[in-house]
Order: sequence, then structure tokens, then C-alpha cells
Amino acid sequence: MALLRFDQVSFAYPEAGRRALDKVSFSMEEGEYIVVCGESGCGKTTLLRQAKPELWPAGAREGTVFYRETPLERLPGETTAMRIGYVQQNPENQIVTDYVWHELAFGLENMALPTSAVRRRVSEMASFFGMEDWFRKKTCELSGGQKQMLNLASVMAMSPELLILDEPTSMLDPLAARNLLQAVARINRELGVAVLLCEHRLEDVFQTADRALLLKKGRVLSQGTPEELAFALQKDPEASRIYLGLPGAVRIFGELQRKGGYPADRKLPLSIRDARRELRGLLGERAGADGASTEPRRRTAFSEARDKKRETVLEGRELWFRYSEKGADVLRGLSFSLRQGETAALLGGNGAGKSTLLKLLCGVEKPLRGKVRHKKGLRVAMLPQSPQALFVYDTLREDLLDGARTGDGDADPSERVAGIAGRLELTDKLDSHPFDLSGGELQRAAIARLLLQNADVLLLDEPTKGLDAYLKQELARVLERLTEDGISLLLVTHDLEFAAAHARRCALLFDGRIVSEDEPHAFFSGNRFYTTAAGLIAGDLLEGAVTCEEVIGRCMER
Amino acid sequence: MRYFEHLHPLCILLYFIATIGLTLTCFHPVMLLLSILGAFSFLLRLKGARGAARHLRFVLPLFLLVAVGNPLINHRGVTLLGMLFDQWITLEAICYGVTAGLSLAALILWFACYSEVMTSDKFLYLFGKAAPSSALLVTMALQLVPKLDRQLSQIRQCQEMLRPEKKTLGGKLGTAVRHTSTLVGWSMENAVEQADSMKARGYGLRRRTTFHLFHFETRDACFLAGLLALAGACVIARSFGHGYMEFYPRMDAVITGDSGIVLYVLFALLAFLPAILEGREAWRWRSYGLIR
Repeated sequence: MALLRFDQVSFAYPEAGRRALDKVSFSMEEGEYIVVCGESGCGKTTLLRQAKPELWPAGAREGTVFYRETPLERLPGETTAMRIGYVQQNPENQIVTDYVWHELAFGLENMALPTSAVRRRVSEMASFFGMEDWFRKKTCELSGGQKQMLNLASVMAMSPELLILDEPTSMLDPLAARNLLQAVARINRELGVAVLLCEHRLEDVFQTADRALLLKKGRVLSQGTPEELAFALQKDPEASRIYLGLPGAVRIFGELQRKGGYPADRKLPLSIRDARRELRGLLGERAGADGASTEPRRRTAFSEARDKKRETVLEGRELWFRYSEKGADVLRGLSFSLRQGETAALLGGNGAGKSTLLKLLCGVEKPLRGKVRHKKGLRVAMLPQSPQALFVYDTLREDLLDGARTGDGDADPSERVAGIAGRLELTDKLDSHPFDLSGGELQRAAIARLLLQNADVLLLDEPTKGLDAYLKQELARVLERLTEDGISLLLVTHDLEFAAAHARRCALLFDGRIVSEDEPHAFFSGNRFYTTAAGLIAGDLLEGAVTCEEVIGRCMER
Repeated sequence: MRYFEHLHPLCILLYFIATIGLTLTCFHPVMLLLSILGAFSFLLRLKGARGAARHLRFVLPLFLLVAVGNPLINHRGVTLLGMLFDQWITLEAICYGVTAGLSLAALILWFACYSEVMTSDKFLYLFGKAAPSSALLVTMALQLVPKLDRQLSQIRQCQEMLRPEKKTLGGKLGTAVRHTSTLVGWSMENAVEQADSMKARGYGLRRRTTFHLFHFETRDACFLAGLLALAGACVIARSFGHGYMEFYPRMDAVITGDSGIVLYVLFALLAFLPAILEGREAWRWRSYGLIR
């Protein structure tokens, strides 16, 4: 008997031209781990919500979803609330109460369980998730990763048999994301709870999932084990935009296979470990001999010469900063400079002070010691982590017009707005409310707002957060065009792949200082662990290869 | 130093009802002075010297205002002391003003202690059983406040970056309104997700219970017994007319017989109870340090 079965389920939002789901059928066994993948807007969330009656969106529904062969609409509310758990995207907004222990108990309180029963469940969950240290904390004091872990735990406290997660890691940094996905894997393996997950960080999920479901335009394009799906996608990258989001190992070997550099009948490796083994086999034993030198290289002569030619536009000198008198130092004598028209990426762990540095550079906060210097007349603008904070009007057009008026220039404001909207592909979104835009659109709208301010330097705080692989590429294109226009960019990011592929210079922030700074190839191949997937696979075998494309290219040369 | 804070919420609530109630009904300089000292010594234990002094900064001017203001406005009483600004100043009015000032100061200090000790979870535990859904509303509001605060400061920082603040009053008002409207829009957006998360966990299916982490221990019972005995004795003494003074037209004696003194002692015990308990706890830690 299947745990969950979709039978020809179709769904259309009111006044929408096409169906969001079109005759979707699949079934899920007890304890199975299924990952649903597909590009943004392909109906993943709509699909997941069909399995949770409380969250059914308004619209026209056809077909039936069965839970243990009973149609969902015939199940009592208590059963669906307890047995089907649902975790959403945003960690902040799902929290209801003010204390961690109270949040864990929220669902059980709703079920009107007596205090003693609630106490047992809550303590069980807290110890399963290792939450003892922050059990009595206030929910507003938690980090984003802890918040999402709390959301997961408070759903698990109701002991569901099916756990549904809708892009649970899209707002988290990579470390917190991996922690959460590991917790989900543990829930699946150790507690036997079935997991239905949609996610665009496929690198981690593909190794744990039993089955993957590829969705396109509301239809199930294909399903099978992750290996099979990866194989099928490799054969036909045009089929879905999520090709770009496949694990690095799959992309490298899939591409090689298509170009004839790797036997066509071999299985594609999914993990870094398998990929390294395969690559070693492919390159032969001599690979180790001309492997990368063990000395991490300093800046290459080439990059140094090129950099010197450019003018420094923004510079922070020996910056010290802390948020309160007795607080910990966030920056300790950090020096950093940004040159005209370059894209620099600032990397580093959580709480390393990356966002703080951006605030200092754009003047929102003042350094305790040290100086921030601008080129004369330079305008610096920052894209915050939540771009919502930039918009104050009811339509995007009004916001942009407002920006065009405050930024000087004799050009007609509405013309400037039209121009920039065209450049950032926002023309048909101008009359929507800023908060109705999707993640990628909001990001572009925010960039447009900042550019209208006539900014010469853009500081971007985590611009790739919540974007799928395809939207990241779009963003990269937008950023590229900006640098061509002479705008300097500084991005703070956790996304090593993005930094490796698109930045001209990478800097690592640790303990309040910049500890290394170089052109990406030298930077990432100098790092042993803190590097891209391609770097992990091929770093010591092929010198200086840090992106999938480079690894593929170098392999084909041989 | 967490003895009092970790008592059962019921004990804490009853203690504050007893002390604040007696402070309100005993309009008598000695009683009020005891009450102030008790509250202040508790505040010292809770927040340290610096934190407690911060409260004094607010309480002292208020006390002076009432103590000085009363004789200037009020001319009742029989003992004339002299003329000030063409007004008769009477001894009774001065004493009444001082006592009223003490009463106000005592109340403020006790409420400062109350808000420090009676955290939202304790309050909700006490009143959540009667009205579970209102209790939930309070928790949600408490969770929302820091979140809104953070969002508003984000909006303010961003908007200041986009356009340097206009210094005129009208300009400032305009920006404030715009920031608030952004905040409202943003949090509405978030509220939809929160509502989903509540529904997904079965909110509204049954009448909720309210979970808590409190236990009623033996020491809570002992504390409660002691509290009831002390407060009961004080109430009885008060009902015999002790611990209260008439000021007009002529002041009563400050000490009214032996039973009056007994009331002072009992009330002093009650007012200093938290400070004593906390002090004992602190002493215990100190001795542990010496033994090790």
C-alpha cells in the first residue's frame, strides 16, 4: 500500500492561463525519500501543497491525492495535521511563539495534549536535534539555521509519517543548509519517516534521495533514481534548466561523456569521492606527478599587473569595528580596496564580518578606527540581504521613478526608468507590487533601483541567496553587463561556485581580517577544502582548474 | 542569584500582589520607607548597582516633584511654618507630600522588580488556562516585536542610504510614514506564511492547551505558607488601624503602640524577603568557592 499517491492531479490558479499542475501521477512508499526538482515556477510548491490539505491553494483542482489509499479530503483534520508535516521556505516566518520550547510544543498544544505528554515529546525532539543548549532561548535570538532547525523539529514533534519540505535551505548559508539536510536524512534513515522534498541545491540531496522527480511546466517530465535522472538530463541538457544545478561531478562527467572523453556506458559519479576516483583513472597515473604544487601561490604576476592599471575607487584602511562597547570585535584592522570596474567577491564563514564590512564601506555604519575613502563624487549603494527594505511604494514603477528623480541627471525620469527596466528585463513587471515579484525579479528590481540612484559602486550582500542555478546565471549576466559599463561590484557571498566563475578577485575574510586575496584560480586552487566542487574533484590533479568548464576543457586537451 | 526568579509563578504573583497591595493601603512613612528599601535591595540583587541606580534616576525627580509640590498647592493642616510665594506652608502638607512621594517611589520600584522577574512565559502560564487563544495572541505579539524592530531598522538603514534624511519636521514625518507603510506591507507578506505554518500544525482544530515548563516543588509550598502567614498578619494589623496615618488637620503619632512596631517588623520581613532569599543563594555560591 502506497503512503501517498497522486492520481491524475491537475490544478489551475484562478485566472491563470495554463494549469500549474497537469495530470500529475506518482506514488510514494513508506519511508521513501523523494526529491522533486525543476526550474523556478514549474509548479514544485503547488505540487507539494496538494499533499497537505491545510495548505491547499485556492483554484480549480482535478484528480485525487490518496494518503494510505484514502482520499485526503476524507481524512479527519487531526490526522492530516499530525501525520503530514510541512516545512516552508522562510525560517523566520514560520515561527509562532517567543520561546524555543514553546514553539516545539505549538502543534501538540493545538492537539490539546496534556502537559505531561507534551513534555515527553518536546524533550525527545530537543535531544534528537541536539537543541539542549538553546532550548530555553528566545526564538528571536536564534540564527537562521537554528530557526529552520527549530521549524523542522517542531513539525517532527507531532510525529508525522510523511515530511514535506519546500526548499527548506534556500534562505540558509551552505553550512546551515548542509546541517539541515543531514537532519532530514537522519529523520528518514533513523526514524523511517518518508520525505518529499523540493530543493535546488542538488549537490547534497542527490546522494541521499531514493528517487527524483523532474517537473517541467506542471508535468512530470521523468522520474527515477537520482543517477538515472542525472544520466537522462546529461543526454539532453536542454530539457530542463535544472541541468545547471546538477552536482559538479555529474556535470563534468556527463559533458565529457557527450564529447567522447569518457566511456558512454559508464555510470556517472554523484559524489566528490567517486568523481575523484574516476578522474584519477581517466588521467592515468601520471596525473599526480604534475599535480599542483603544494605551496599556495601568491598573486600571479599577470593579475597584479592588470590590477595596478585600474584606479582604486573605494578603500577601507585598517578598519576596526564592534557593535557595542563591550561586544566582540567584528573587524580587526581590515584593509580592502576595490578598483574601477572590477567584480570582487568577499568570502568567509558566518559572522566573519562580511555584511558588517559592506555597511562600513557604504557608510551606513561608521568604523571605530580606520578610514573609508571614496574617490571624489563616487556614489556607493548596497543591495541588502532582504531587498524588500528598498521598496516603499505600491508599484515597482513608482519606486523606480522616485529613484530616477533623486538620482540627478537631466534625462527624463520615466525614460530612464524605461531604459533600465529594459536592460534588466523588468518591463512587464513595472506595474506589479514589489512584494509580488519572485526572488530573482526582486533582486533585479533592487539592482535597478540602486542604479537609478546613479551608483558607481554596488555592494551586494548575498545576491545569489534563494536563486536556482539558472537564475544565478541570469544574475551573472546582469552583473557582467554592469561591469562593462564601468560599475564596480563587491559581492559578499557563500556561493563559492558563483565567485569562482564570475569574480575577478576573491578575498577570504576570517577573524576580522582579509587573510588571502587573489585572482579566483590562484585563490581556489590554493585552498584545499574551502573551494568549489570542481576544485575538490580536480584541484590537485589539474592545476588551476576551479570551474566545471575548466575541468572539462583540460580533460579534453589531454 | 536566581532563587526568587525560579520559584513557581504562582508564588511570585502572590508575593507581588501582597507587597504591592500592602504598599498601596499602608499610607505611612515608616511602612513606605521599608517597602522602598525592600524593593531597592531586591532590584540591586536583580540588576546590580548600575542597573538599580538607573531606576533611581527616574524615581528621585518624581519623588521630589510630589514632596515639594504638595505643600505649595495644598494648605491644609494646623502647623504654619511660614510664607512662600504668598502661600502658607504647613508642616502637615510637607509630611503628606513626602509620604505620597515615598508611596509613588515604592510602587515604581516594585513594578520594576515585577517586570524583571515575571517574564512573559510565567504570565502566560498563569493566565493561559483561562483564555488559551488570548494567551497565544500575547506570545505571538511578543515574538513579533523584536522581529518588526529588526525589519524597521533594516528599512531605515536602506532608505537613509537611498536618500539622505530631510532635516525638516515635515520631511522626517514623511519618511517615517513611508517606512511604516513598507514595514506593514512586508510583515503582511510574512503573516501569510505564518498563518500557513499554524494551520499546517493543526491550529484551530481543538481548544488549545498551554504547555509550560514549571513544577510546583516543596520549597514553593514552604514559601507560600510563609508568605501567607506574613501577609495575613500584616493585613490583620492593618485592619486594626496600624500602619496608616492621618495628616490633616493634625498628624497622628508615627508609632502607635507595640502592635504597630510588630507590624513594622513583619512588613520589613515581607519586603526584604526576596533580597534575603537571593542573598542567601549568593552566599551559598561564595562558600562553595571557599571550600573548593
